[in-house]
Amino acid sequence: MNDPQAKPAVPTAPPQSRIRSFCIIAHIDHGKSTLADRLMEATGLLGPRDGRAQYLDRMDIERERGITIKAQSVRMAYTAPDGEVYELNLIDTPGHVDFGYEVSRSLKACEGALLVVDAAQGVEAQTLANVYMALDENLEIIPVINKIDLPSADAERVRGEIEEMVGLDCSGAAMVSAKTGIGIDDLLCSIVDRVPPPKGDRQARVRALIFDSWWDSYKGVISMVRVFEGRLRPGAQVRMLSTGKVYQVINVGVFAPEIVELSELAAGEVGFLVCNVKEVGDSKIGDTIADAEDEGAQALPGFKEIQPMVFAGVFPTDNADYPALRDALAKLSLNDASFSYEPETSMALGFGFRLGFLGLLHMEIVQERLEREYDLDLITTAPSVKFVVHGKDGTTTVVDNPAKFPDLGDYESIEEPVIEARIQLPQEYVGPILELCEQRRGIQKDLRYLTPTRVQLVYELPLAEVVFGFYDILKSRSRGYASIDYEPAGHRKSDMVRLDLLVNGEHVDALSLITHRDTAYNRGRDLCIKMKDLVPRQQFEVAIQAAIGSRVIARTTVKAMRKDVTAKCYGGDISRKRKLLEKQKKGKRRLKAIGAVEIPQEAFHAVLSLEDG
Amino acid sequence: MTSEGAAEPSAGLYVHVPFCARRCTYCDFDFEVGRVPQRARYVAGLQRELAARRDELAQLQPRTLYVGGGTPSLLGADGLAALVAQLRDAVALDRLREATCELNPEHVDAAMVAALAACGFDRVSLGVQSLQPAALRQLGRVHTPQQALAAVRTCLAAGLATSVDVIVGWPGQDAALLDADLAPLLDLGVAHLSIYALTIDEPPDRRGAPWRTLVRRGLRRMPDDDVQAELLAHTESMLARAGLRHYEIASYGRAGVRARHNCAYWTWQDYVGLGPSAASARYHDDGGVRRRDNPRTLAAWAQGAPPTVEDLPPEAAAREGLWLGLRQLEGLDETAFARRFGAAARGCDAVLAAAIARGDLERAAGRLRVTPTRWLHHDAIAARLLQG
Repeated sequence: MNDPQAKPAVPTAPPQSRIRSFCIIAHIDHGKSTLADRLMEATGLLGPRDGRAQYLDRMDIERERGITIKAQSVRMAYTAPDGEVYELNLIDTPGHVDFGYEVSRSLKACEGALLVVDAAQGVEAQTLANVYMALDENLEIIPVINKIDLPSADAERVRGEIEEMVGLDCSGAAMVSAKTGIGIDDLLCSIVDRVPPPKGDRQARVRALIFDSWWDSYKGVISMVRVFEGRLRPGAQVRMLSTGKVYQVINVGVFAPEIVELSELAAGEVGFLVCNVKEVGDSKIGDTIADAEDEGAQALPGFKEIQPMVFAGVFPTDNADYPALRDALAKLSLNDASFSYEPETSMALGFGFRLGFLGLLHMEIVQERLEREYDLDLITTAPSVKFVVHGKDGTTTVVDNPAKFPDLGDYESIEEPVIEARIQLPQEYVGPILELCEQRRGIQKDLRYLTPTRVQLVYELPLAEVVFGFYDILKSRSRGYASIDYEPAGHRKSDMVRLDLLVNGEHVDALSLITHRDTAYNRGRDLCIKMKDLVPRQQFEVAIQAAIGSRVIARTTVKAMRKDVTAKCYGGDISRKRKLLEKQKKGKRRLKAIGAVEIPQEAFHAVLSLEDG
Repeated sequence: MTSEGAAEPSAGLYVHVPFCARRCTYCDFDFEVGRVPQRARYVAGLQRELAARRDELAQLQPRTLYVGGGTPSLLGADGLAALVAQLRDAVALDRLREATCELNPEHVDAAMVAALAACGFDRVSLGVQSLQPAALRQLGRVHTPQQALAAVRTCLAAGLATSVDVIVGWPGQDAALLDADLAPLLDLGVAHLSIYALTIDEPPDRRGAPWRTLVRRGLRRMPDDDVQAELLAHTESMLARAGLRHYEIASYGRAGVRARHNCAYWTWQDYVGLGPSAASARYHDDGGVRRRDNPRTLAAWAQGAPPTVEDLPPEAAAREGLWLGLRQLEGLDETAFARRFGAAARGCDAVLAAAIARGDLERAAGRLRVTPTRWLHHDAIAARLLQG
């Protein structure tokens, strides 16, 4: 079995006329992964109900949350009614607002897109944002109305909604149930009929686009690529145009769904590439791979360096774990090049790191991976954004850490990042959501009815307001029906101040936050009330104070714990009670001692759960 | 504290009688709702254990005996006499300076106390818990307030040193109701009280007390910590005015009146426990301690299932020793501590210094004690000592 000669025959690249590359655009829970599973079954890639559900979502976290974080792409061989065998490349796309850039690169690899809409739910904002992107890329979009077997399905309404909102002709929409398999064969036919084959000169020098990269413990860095010109073959020397670094191609191939090595990937094909790249950060999403000797190679358009938008301090609960955290970050960054990190020292929390993330979900994922895959106990501070501080001396600095934000009066002006948010919701929730946007200092840009019952709001919102739990409140005030999509929209001047928290008279730098002067008082008061419930009662009374500069603007008190004593303790009780006391101290993981007070992780995130603006 | 406790080792002997007429709602103790065949099994099991531990018992020469439960008085006067006779065959009981038997008020009458005295008991511990009918109902106790007071009178009249157990902090109790529980006992001349805050433990590996189930069904409230703290503080000052000294977290006594047997637990003395779920401890010369817990159920114990044995090295034993010793509000005797735990005692210097600096502990006259205002935080202080 180890004889290399015994490998299965290596297929050569089919003609471009028999290649179809497409992605699936869908809102969370609208059935993207299930549909992908059915397509793989129908083309024989998976046995019926083979192994795990949602084959494409490989990371545990992805499967648990039902979302796709890293794109996975598979090749399927489909024998069409015309008797020809087609190579179908299904390119998976991340489904969350934090990963818009990755989505845009994945779309570059496709000629078509399946727009999957839940027959009971209708079109959501995030879906629409991705559809617009797909339209911009000139993809052929096939509407797929899923879950038509549900009793609550209203395919006609959804069809109308797609026509109205997206402007797509839905007469040829595929009606499917990914769960039961209804309509899957027809959908495959539509893909072959409607998605155009790729173009690109296979005799030219090679140019390929990286649309995903990750770390694999066996193969090192694996990149997913779309070849636009020429052929990628093992042994060739290639150059990454953004860095100018040259690598040797070690192997190429496809996932079907397990790894299949091939002798080449030719123009029009999609597959993986393994070079001797050491770090994921050197195989950047959106970068162009060219022939190393092709001095004048032009980069494919659209590359950009990923910029973190949201920042938070990450500290080990036990200071002795600092080296372990440092090593874990180094390893994780091999795998995820989209977060940044640099050392940070907090007076309250000791040595740690300041991490930059694409968004809040990304932040949660990174924290969860650090804790789960590297077995660390971490305290993360509330997220923050990058402020531009114009000093009185004419200098300009960028501050992403509230603890480093200058004192009141020590600056000329502050600029904060803003986003343009598109929020879609049923019209009955417009009132409360408008109120939320106004509380969060939003500026309304547009309000229109997409259909008689669905409204789209466009707001310019400070990013700092969005990271403070905006998403959760949006969901709760709309009973889960509102969806949001956003993109950066520059900076605007704002009257921001640093709000400090004092616990038992001690200023806790890691609890500081930046807020607008107009909301500072309310936020300080709400935060003190919230903290009162989160800080466990101690032997003594603990004062929680919010202050701007030296002025205390709010105060609450955590009452002293009155009693913490074992009622009786005789011979038979000793072993058991001692173990209880020892366990009690072990249960204190994720508590951080600030002076004499122990503060739990939740307290650092208290600001995220404040209901009011 | 018994002053001789430090000077001469005074081993204790505990015998667990695992029977109750019914389960009290707050209790998660190990017992059997026993019937006659089970008692025969118990007697046989005790005989087996006495034989199996013959050598250990032969050396013991206990200074105190405590027969607890469960409900020892459920055995009746004859049953208790037989139990003592059984013990006397295996253990030298002639050096006893205290012999206590736990009694439920409903079992106390002149015949019972006479029988107890006849077989050598000089002290009783009465499970009164409360004198309020509503409280007794909540707690699931069988006796009435009148029975409780009668039992106290009978024991005192018979010349038995009488300790009374009282539970504080049941839902609905306030300072006035607490006084109504304590004052009549003091008026009768009770010189020793064990005061427990009502605690509903949740043992990780057992079903726990019925109280929890009742709470889940909305039929009971959990006791309120803040109220209990107030009532415990109230108890301390009320009993102090009456002349009872608060000498251990749960124990109050008139001058010179102590539970000698229980003091052995807090002064690091050896003890041997017999019967299901009974615990034993033996200190070694280096300060380490071997703790031995008998199987919990009557069935397992009677069949001779092996005990759980835990050997604490001197360092861990010394930390545990601090926790136990500091239950004495007058403080632990530092000379005795140093003698018991040797080098490991000196290893505690740093954590003790830190605790003193924090204000948790203080030194007074060769004793180290929990700062008097902080005894209600004894667990938090102990957890830090065990951890440090």
